[in-house]
Parts: sequence; structure tokens; C-alpha cells
Amino acid sequence: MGNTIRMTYATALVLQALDGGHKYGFDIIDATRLRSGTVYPLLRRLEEAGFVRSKWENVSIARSSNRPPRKYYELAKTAGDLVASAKARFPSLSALPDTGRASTI
Amino acid sequence: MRFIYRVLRVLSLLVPPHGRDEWLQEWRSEFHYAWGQTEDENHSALSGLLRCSGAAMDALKLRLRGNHAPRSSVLETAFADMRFGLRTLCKRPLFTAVAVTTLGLGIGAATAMFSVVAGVLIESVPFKKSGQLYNVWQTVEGARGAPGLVGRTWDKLPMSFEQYRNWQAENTAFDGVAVHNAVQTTLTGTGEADRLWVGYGSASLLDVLGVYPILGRWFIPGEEGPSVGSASPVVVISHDTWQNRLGGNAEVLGTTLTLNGTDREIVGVLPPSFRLRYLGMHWLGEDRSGKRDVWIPLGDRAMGNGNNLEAIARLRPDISIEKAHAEVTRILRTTRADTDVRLVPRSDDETHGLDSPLLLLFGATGLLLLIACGNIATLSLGELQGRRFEILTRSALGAGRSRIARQLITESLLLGILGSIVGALLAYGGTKVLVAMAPPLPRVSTIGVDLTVFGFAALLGIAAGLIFGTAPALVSVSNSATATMSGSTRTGSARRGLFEQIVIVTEIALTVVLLVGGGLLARSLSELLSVDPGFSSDGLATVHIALPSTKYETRQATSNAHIRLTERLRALPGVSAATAASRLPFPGLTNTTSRKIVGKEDEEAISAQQVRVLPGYFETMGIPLVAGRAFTMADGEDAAPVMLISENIARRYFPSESPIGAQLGGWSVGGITIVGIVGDVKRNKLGSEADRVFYTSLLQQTARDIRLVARTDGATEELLPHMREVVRSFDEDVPVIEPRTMASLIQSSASEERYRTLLLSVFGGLACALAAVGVFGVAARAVALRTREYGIRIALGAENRGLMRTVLRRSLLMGIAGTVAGVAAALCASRLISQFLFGVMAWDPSVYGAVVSLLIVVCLLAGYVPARRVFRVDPVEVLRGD
Repeated sequence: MGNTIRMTYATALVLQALDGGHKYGFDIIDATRLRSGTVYPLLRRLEEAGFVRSKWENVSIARSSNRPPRKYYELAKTAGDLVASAKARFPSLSALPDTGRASTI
Repeated sequence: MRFIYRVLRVLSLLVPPHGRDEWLQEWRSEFHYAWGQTEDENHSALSGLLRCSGAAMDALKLRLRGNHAPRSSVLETAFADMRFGLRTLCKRPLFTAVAVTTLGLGIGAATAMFSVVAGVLIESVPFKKSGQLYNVWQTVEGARGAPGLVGRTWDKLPMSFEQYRNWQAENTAFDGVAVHNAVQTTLTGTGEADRLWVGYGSASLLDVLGVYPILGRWFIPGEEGPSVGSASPVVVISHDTWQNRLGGNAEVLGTTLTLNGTDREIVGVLPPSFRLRYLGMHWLGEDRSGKRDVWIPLGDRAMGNGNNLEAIARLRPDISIEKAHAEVTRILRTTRADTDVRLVPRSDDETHGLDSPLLLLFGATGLLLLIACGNIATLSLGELQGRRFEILTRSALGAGRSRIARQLITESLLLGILGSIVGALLAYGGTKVLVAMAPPLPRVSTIGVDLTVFGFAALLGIAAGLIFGTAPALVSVSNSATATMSGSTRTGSARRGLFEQIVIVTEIALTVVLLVGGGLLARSLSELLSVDPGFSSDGLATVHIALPSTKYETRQATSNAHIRLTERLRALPGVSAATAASRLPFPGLTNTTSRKIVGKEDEEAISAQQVRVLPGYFETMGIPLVAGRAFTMADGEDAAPVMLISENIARRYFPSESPIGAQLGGWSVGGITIVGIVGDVKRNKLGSEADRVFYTSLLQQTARDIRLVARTDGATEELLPHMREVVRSFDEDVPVIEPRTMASLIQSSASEERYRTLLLSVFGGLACALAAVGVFGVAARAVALRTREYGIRIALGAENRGLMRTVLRRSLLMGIAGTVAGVAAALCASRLISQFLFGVMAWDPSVYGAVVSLLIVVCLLAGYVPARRVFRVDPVEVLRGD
């Protein structure tokens, strides 16, 4: 464990998306325009480092929407500093338009 | 879409196994979403596939990062382990039930006994900073070995009032010094006359102890008299008296209470828990409860003169015990030159004589717990044998040794926790039983199961679960790993079998120790109760009465009352004889007097207890007249004073001549003539020597505090209410104290012995049951493991009976080894128990023989049940299974 996250542009994007309320894989992919092969490994690494927590959606909700249950991600309380450092390092992030479809459950 | 799912499934093989399902689920979900997007936007399936190609990257990266499971917090893992552990235990209900019950029994017994030990021994002085409290006794070397009270108190002589006042005036070594004692007094004016325990204490007493009244105040120095008989008529009442006799009324302060004809003003109420034992030898018997109904100030007439004040002092923290000792000795010697002083920590005096029997029982529960733990060890080992495949599968799937160990530890911990819960529940009930059955132990009423006791149970359970559940499991895992991998389930079982056998042999040995202890105590008790007390106790009913001095002022009035009361008792149906005495045996401790034989003043004085009796006493009690004559009604106030002596006095002091006609001097009435000799009587303990007794006539030396005794041919118990009624109809102001049958008084004198015997026997019985379960378990597993071997041997022509004998031989050998070890251990431990034995040797062969035979039979029976399974082995099934 530990804060061994390398602050790349992709990491900063994902953090910003999570901070903006985007909660699951494709939502984040759409918001960040990153490839899924980048987003998922990033999410896993952030989770392992303790900055992101994940939980499974209730099966009954998924069933009523006629789809498989989603795995939701959210920033942990410890991630505040990391988000701030991302914004400090990439000031242009805040200028990006929010293209996500957050929380369309 | 199905095709994409297939691709995902293939890709998932890259993902380490522990996260594979979740990975697949997540990517399915994402693909489902992406597919919907591509359809909406009219994209081809290929573009969907491309969008999902990240899955491959994700899987590959997970693979490259290695086999590590995602790290979750320690707490989460622990909870997950707990959940899994609970499920595993639920799946094996029989194992769980047996293990939890066994552990619960052991913990319950140990915890219940702990609560008694904690209450009686650990919290022996329930006052603040009790380590600073000391008792101050005087020792009189000359009184050592004297009979009766003086001889027993030679090193525990209390202070006189004068000594106390000197000490208090000159004290510098102690923060405070205080004295107290108790008498019994008659309470009138609140319904039926009643007898109360009246404590008398110095004004400094509560300060020294650090106790505060809950209502009003304690005595002030001004209320304490400068001499005996000059104290103010005030009284402080106990919480119990306030609640039960005076209705718990808050306006009780300022009202009056009539004690022994004197009106006293109530000035305070003590807290409910307040008890103060008198630790010296009290002539009313040992003060085990320390319960006082009311307290009166020092200097009151009721406290009498003489050395009767027990001194308690709080040592100053900056003063050494030697310095304090020197100071007290100097002060007390100004009034009594030959005195020496002992300063004893209050807690030492409080627990004197109580610690060894209680620790013996506590030790016994410790052995019981060890036996229970032994069962847990063999049970866990057996269970683990069955789960070996599961554990190795998990190991092969990537679970490390520490991961598996953690899971096993968690399961053992759960078992320990469940055992603790059962044990705590059993202890809760068991403590109540222990307290209800207990002889009058100090503080017994305050014993209960509190947080400390529950903490003790939890500690025992967790420690037992961890040590005895995990250790064998880990040993077994490491030993058997290679064996199972190589396909055999039997290799390595030899070491496990040896371990099991050692545990079971130890269990049997411990059981032998407990059963021998119980057996020896039981034999000792029966020897004790068969001792002839020197009189015939069957059919004797007794009652203690106290004639109020305000009503029965003269000797004549008192004697008349005695005679009329006994006449009325004799008139009751079924009563063949009735009499009265100042003290009856059991408990019959009285003041000791020393008298010289007239004409032999140079010789040693005769020391004996003095008992005053009415004519007819010896006939009623069934004490044989050895020589001379008994008292008659003619030996009245005006006749020449006469006495009878017990036979042991005659033997010791008149070895070659007849004591009849001899005169003893030094009596207030002048010389007194010995007219008869009666048989020796045990007055306090059946196990002790008969006491030396001077008997004088109640008609010549009267007493207001007496015991009436009647002999009936019918049911003794039924006579008691009639006796009470006779006294009440005679005079309502005479309190009736403790109507009891003589047989029950004698039984009470052995109540501690009975308690020990009963408890140790119960613990022995439980140990025997647990050991039987242990033998049964090991035998059953041995049969189960060797089913294949038995099948083959049966197929090759072996006889069932022969195989069964093999199984039984194992149980028998364990039984023999265990009993041999146990007998050796019990012989070593016999020194511990010999101090509790009466009339039986610590190596009594009959007890040892009975215990050994019992355990061998138990082992054979416990082995026989699983051995019968050999008959059910079907060789065809076994061979087909191969």
C-alpha cells in the first residue's frame, strides 16, 4: 500500500471524473475520453492505494433496469490531497467541459 | 453478444483466480452498456469490440502485477474470516456443539469458582485504600494452649477501653485509630421482640474505614463516653434495619428505637453494603457475616468492660510498620506490662483460614478446564483430519500458509468466544448455586457475576480456544501437507494418534486426581459425621432465648422463669424431657475459667469452660453420669454450691484419686464442691478434642441468656414451632432466637467440609464425563480412519470380534496409562489435601481402588460404543472404494 500513484495526465483525468460524480467504468471512460484499457487499470491501482473505494450495485436495481449489476467507484476521504495535487499539476483540467452522463441509473 | 461474452471469458483466464469472477462481471456490465451505445449510434459490432478491447489490457496488467489479492483492511479480512468461520462451524453442528459445551462447562466451573474466590479472598477488605488498614492485636504468651476462648485468642487479644483511649491520645504513627465489637441485644417496640446484632464503635471508626452514612451522621466524639456506661443514648442503624424494620422512611432520623429497655435516638443510616467483621474469637462464635443491625457509641453500658475492643488503624504512608509497632507496644505496655503487639494487615486476618479450601476448589476447576481443553485439542485435530482436502485445495489455489493459519486461528477464536458465552451463562447460574449452598463465608451475600468475572470467562475462552484449537491444527497442517498431496490420507496419522493418546492419557490422569480428592473428602466427611459427640442428638430440639434484664431483675425471678418454661415444654405432647443451659454444644464456645483445687494451691490450676445447667440437663441430653450424682432441685440458691466436671478433667487433674468431694476455690461464692463426673462432650467441632467443662447449676448461678432444650419421641422439626409458641405465650417480650434441631446444628458444624466435598465430587464427576467424551471421540475417529484396513482384514478372514478387541485394547491401554499416571499424581498431591482430611489417610487404598476401577470401566464403555462399528464394516464396499 502507500501513495505510489504516479500523477499522469490520465490519472488526473480519472480523478477529476470521479470528483465530478462519475461513478462507473464507462461513465468515466466517456467523461475522460480515455481508453478502457487505461481507465480500468488506473481505477484498480487507485483502489489498491486506498484513494478509491468500490462497491457493487444492488442486484435488484440492476434487474429492474434489465442489465447486469454495475461496479461503482468513488473517491475515498483520503483522496482530497491527491485531487488537489492533480489540479495543481494540470491546471488545464478545470477548463475541460464535463461531457459525462453522470449517474444515469 | 454471446460471442463477446465468450471472448471475455477467455480473457478472464489471464486474471488471477481470486478476482476472476468479479472482473468478468464488471466487464460484462460495461460491455452491455457499450453495446447499447454502439447500437444506438448505429456502429458496427466490431467497433463495440474495439471499445471493449481495453478488457484485454486490463486483464493483462492484472496478470503482470502478479497473484496478489487486492489488499483490504485488516478489519475487513478479519470480518470476512469470522463470517467464513461461522459458516464452517454451522456446517459441522455436532463438532461445534460438543466443543462449545465442553469448553463452556470448563469455563463455567472455573468462572463461577473465580467469582467466589474474588468475592471472598481478593476483595476481602471492601474499604478504600484497604492496604493501609491494619489490625492491632495483643499477644499473651502465658495464655497459649489454654482451653476455651482464652487459649484460642492468646495471640489475638483485643484492647481494653482504657488502652484504646491512651492509644488514641498518644498515636502519631497512624492516620486514624478505631475500635469496635458487637453484642446481641433485644429490640422491643416494633412488634414481636427480636434479637439484634448491635455493633459498638468509636467515633473515629467510619473515618478510618473511609465510609460515609447515607443519611444523617456517625457518632461524634462528644457522644462517646469517657468510661463504660457514660455514652449518649444514640444509635446508627443499618440500611437493612432501616428498610425492613422501620419501613425505609426518610424521616427516620430523630425517632427512637428501644434496645434492651433503653430509648435511643436514631442519628444516621449506614450504606447497604457496609459490613464489618469482628476477626477475633467472639464468644458468640466466629463472626462470618459482619452484619450489624444497629450501632451504638463506644462507652455504652452494653459493650461491657474488659479486653473486648478490636482495633483497626490506618497506617500513615510515610511511617514504617516497625516504627508503628514500636509506638503501639510502648503505649499499650503502660496499662499491661506483659503485653506484646501484633500488627496484621486487615486482609490477612480477613482471609485467614479461608484461602486454602477455596484455592483447593479453584485449583480443581482449573484441572477441569484443562481436561475440557484437552477435549478441544483432540476434537479440533479430528475435525482437521476431515478438512485436510479442503485446506490443501485452498493452498493449491494460492492461499499462503499464513492465510490458512489466520483462518484456522479465527475459527478457534470463534469457538473460544462461543465457549466463553456458554461458560459465562453457566457461571451466572453456577455462582448463584455456589452462593446458595455456601457455608457462612464472609461477604458471601455480595458475591455475584460482574464485569470482572465476565472478563475472566472471556479471557479463559479465548486463550483456551487459541492455544488448544490452533496449535494442534497448525501442527497437523504442516505434518500432513505432503502426505495428502501424495494422495494418501493415512500417512502421518501415527504422529497425530500419538498426540491424541497423550492428551487423553493426561485427561484421565487429571480426572483421577479430582476423583481421588472428592473420594477422600467424602470418606473424611462420613468419618466426621459418624463421630460420637458424647450425647444423643436424635430428638433434641433447641431454642435460644434472652430474658430482658429490665423485666427479670432478680436471680429469683430469672430462675422461676427457667423452671416454668421447662415445665411448659415438658407438658407439650410427645416431649419426654426438657431442660435449660447457658450454652449448648454446637456452637458451644464459652468463657474459660481457671480454678485451683483447695488444699493443692501450689499445683496447676484447672482451666475449663463453664456451663450453667438446670437439673435434668444430663438426662435430657443423654450425657452419661460417670460417677457421683447430678444436680437436683435441692441444689438451690441457699444450698452449698456444687458442680460436676467432665471426665477429661478428672483424668487429667485427678489421675489417682476420686475428684468427688474435692473443692475448687476462687469462686465468688467461695469454695465449690465437686459432686459428680459426666461424660466428655464435643462442643464445637466433631473433629476436635472434647472440651473440658465445669458444670454449675443455673439455680445457683443464673443467666438471662439461655438455651431451652426438649427431647421428643416424635418428629423433632415439628416440635420447633410449639417451642416458639410456649415462649411467646409465656412472655411476649422474650425474643425467640434460632429454633433448631440439635441434629441440624451438628450438621451445620460440618457445613464447610460438606461444601468442599460436594463441590470437589461434582467437579470430579464432570471431569469423568469429559474424559469419557474424549476417549469416545478418539476411539471413534480411530475406527473411522481405519475402516479401509478393517475391511481388508475382514475380507482376508479376520473375525469381527478380534478386530473389536483390537479397538477396545486401545481404549483400555489409554485408561490404564492414564490411571497409573493419575494415581502417581494424586499421591504427589496428597500433601495438599491431607490438611482437610479427618480419620482417613491421604493414600486411602479403598478410595484409590474405587477411582481406578471406575475410570477403567468408563474407558471401556466409551471405547465399546465406537468399537461396535467394526461390525458394520462392509468389506465389499471398502474394496470397491479402492
